[in-house]
Amino acid sequence: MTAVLTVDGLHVDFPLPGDVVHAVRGVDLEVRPGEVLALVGESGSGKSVTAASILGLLPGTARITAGSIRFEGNELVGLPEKRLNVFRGAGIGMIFQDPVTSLDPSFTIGSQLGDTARLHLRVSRDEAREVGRTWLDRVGITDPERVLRSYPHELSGGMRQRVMIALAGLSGPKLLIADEPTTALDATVQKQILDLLLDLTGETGTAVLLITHDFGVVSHTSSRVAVMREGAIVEVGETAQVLGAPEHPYTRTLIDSVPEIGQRHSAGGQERRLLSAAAHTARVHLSSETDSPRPSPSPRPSPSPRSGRSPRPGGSAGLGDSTGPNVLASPAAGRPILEISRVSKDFTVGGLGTGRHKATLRAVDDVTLSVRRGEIFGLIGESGSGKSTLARLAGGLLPRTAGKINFDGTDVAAAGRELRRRFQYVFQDATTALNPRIKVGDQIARPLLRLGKATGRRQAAELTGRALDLVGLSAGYADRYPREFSGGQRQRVSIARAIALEPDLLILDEPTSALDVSTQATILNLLLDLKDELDLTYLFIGHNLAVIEFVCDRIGVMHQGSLIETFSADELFAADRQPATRALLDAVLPIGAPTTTKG
Amino acid sequence: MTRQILWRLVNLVPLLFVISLLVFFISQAGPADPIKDVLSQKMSAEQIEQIRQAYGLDQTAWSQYLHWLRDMFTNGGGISLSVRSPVSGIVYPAFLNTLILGAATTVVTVVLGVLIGFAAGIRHGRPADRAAMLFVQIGSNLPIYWFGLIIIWLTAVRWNWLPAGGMHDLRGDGGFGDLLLHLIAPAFAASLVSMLIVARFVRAAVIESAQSDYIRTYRSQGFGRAAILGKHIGRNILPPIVNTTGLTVGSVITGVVFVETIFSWPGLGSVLLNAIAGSDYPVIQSGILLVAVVFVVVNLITDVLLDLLNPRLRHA
Repeated sequence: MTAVLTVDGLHVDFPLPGDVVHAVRGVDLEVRPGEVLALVGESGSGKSVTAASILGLLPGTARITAGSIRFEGNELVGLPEKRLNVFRGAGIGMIFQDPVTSLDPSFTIGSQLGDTARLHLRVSRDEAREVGRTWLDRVGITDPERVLRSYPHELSGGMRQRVMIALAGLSGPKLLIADEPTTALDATVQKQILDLLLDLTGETGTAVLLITHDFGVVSHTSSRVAVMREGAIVEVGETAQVLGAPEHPYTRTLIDSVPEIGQRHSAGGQERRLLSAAAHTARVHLSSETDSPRPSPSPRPSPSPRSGRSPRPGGSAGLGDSTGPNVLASPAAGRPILEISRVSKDFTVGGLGTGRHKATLRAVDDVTLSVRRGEIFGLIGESGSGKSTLARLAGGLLPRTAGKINFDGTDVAAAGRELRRRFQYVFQDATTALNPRIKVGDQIARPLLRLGKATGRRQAAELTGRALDLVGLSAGYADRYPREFSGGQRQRVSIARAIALEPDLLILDEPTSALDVSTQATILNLLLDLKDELDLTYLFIGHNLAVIEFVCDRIGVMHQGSLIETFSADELFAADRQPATRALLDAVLPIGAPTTTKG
Repeated sequence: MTRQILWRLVNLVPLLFVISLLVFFISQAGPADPIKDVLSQKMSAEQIEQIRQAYGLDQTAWSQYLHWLRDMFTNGGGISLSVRSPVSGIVYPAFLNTLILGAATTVVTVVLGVLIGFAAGIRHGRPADRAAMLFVQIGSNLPIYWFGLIIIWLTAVRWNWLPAGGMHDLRGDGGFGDLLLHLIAPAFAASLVSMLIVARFVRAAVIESAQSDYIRTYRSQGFGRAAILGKHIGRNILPPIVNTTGLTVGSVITGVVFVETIFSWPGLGSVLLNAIAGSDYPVIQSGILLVAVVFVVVNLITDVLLDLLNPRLRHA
């Protein structure tokens, strides 16, 4: 079987002033006709750069320095733009990650589809419109006429990605490169888009090179998988084989980093840590390599028994493991620490002076919930369901329209300095949540002084050092700026900033959504450790049901501004779950059982 | 959309009122005394007082303002203190000439600014781009009057291609072609700074658009460079072009005032200079008010155009 695409010894360099970054170092890859090959790896592994080099779409100054890319026997490396355009679209189609920015904001969908149809199919303007209509129909858009007249901003993310698929598909390519096609989409939409992609390419026998970081997506879609790390491919094979019995330790670590839905039960519900398999393989500790601030060489020397884990005084882990604080802090036993009762939040748009009608959007609608002391309460919902707004209301960051929010019996809106210290936030994107121009030590110390936790600079510095130490960064990092840290380290700094104040409640707003799976695993473990050591309560907002189920004791599901149900994490699979919860559950793509029938 | 435009028009009324207040009271606050400047030293105190009364200068500032406002609507802006004829007869013809020069300047600004910016933007980082940016850097720091004199020296004195000044050839028929010939040099001189500002913004917009995800999408579909540059980048840089052009109209107008003097253009600039020298308040106030109105109207047009160019606002 001759391959559609053959990549041989590909090297790609990014020249920087005074330095060269070798993004891709000798990648060999073969995509066979009609197959779905997944290229999986963490951010910075070079998978997207590899994909971009195939069509000559490398950004900026990046250059292919060696290797060959052959499409149906034609060498693509070194071709001028004009000759490459023969293959672009017609031979190889491409779908990009972000459907929001990948469509031209100034032209209608009909115009963009029409332009592409006329370029590749040599049809008239009217025929091109008809082609566009047919394709919108094929990608499952029910009202193609309206969508043809729409601008990209008038469509949802899922709709836009369907349009992208139509754009890439209508020229009838032999190979489709999909670069993280569902990463920017909601979980419930992800599966629909992937299935659509598989159906369409299956019908036409188009081969797919799917770039992703999500093993659930790999398992759901691909017949073969290639695992990439630091610019090279470490393992290639049949998907079922690689996922079931990975040969390379790195693959194993990656897979073990991902919380699987239902894994909570096998972990017993009390000893919940990820990367538990790492001890059985060679000493591959991803956390210590890509995210290496810990002074000790191995952050998690003996993952399953917890005895040796807590060297710090004050932790309660000194006693036997079977009686960890999680057991004592049985969720039902705790008193409520945060009580949200009948809270609503309206946002107003338009009105006098804008020339538009005044309109009110209800982001949070009559939500009542209480978070008990010592538990981890998970709040989940699709984007736009109001979960982040509720998180901001909970700490009084936004004024509420109606309802009451009490923290430990006192209204948060009237919270003084002492009370405010006791609930702290960790936000999703540590890059923007930290001030880029202030040393991280100062960012941790300022609230300490401001909220009266430290009486002087010296004490503040001491507490800052201790907080950094607790999150696995050494106190010496206090003098650095946020840009000097990796994504995972920055999130550690955010956590340090919050816990330095010795709060009772941490409001975690998607704390790991922007992180790679291995980094996510270390941060989740860190959060679970800190909770035990510092006796914390978490309100954990997320959109990944597997993470929420793994970490949390109780789960609340938000849907269109309302909290539709609350249940113990053990009861996630109970028969009487609400439809919206079921939709979230169905959207989870498990790694374990590949469902693909392709190949 | 229509609703938004109407709303912007309604907003103009209070804005113009505030502008008229500012124009009137700021010039009132000046140190010059029109009577002392206009009349001879020999007049007695009673005579001066008489004249003050005749011109209403003895009244309170507020009633003077109301008077002036009424004159603006009914009396052609009142009577000039130095020429003793209605202000409108002095200011309006000059204003029209200034508008002609301003419009020509704007056209040169947009055409050359976009050309330079586009040419530099699509060669981002290459020698041609760096050379263009150096030119922009130097050019936008040149004093307009000096630049104007150089242009006159080159085009009129040295090569004798263009007239050295004025609006019409005195011996000619005063036709449109003659006017255009007289416009070239002053419009070019007056547009220098704003043209280079526009060029800078267009260059940035071209670079941003060229690196955008949606242009990458077009490239991945095999669209040729010409189609991408002409249609898609071209369309997406229109908003910044309109925006900067609207913003630079301010510097165009101030530039025009200088340039009029150098090129002996019979516009508002020279009228205002004479009026200031003679403390002719009615003329100063009317002239400044007209300039302010131009500002406001240009801003309005800019805003409406930007709304029209943005699909998000157009369909709102």
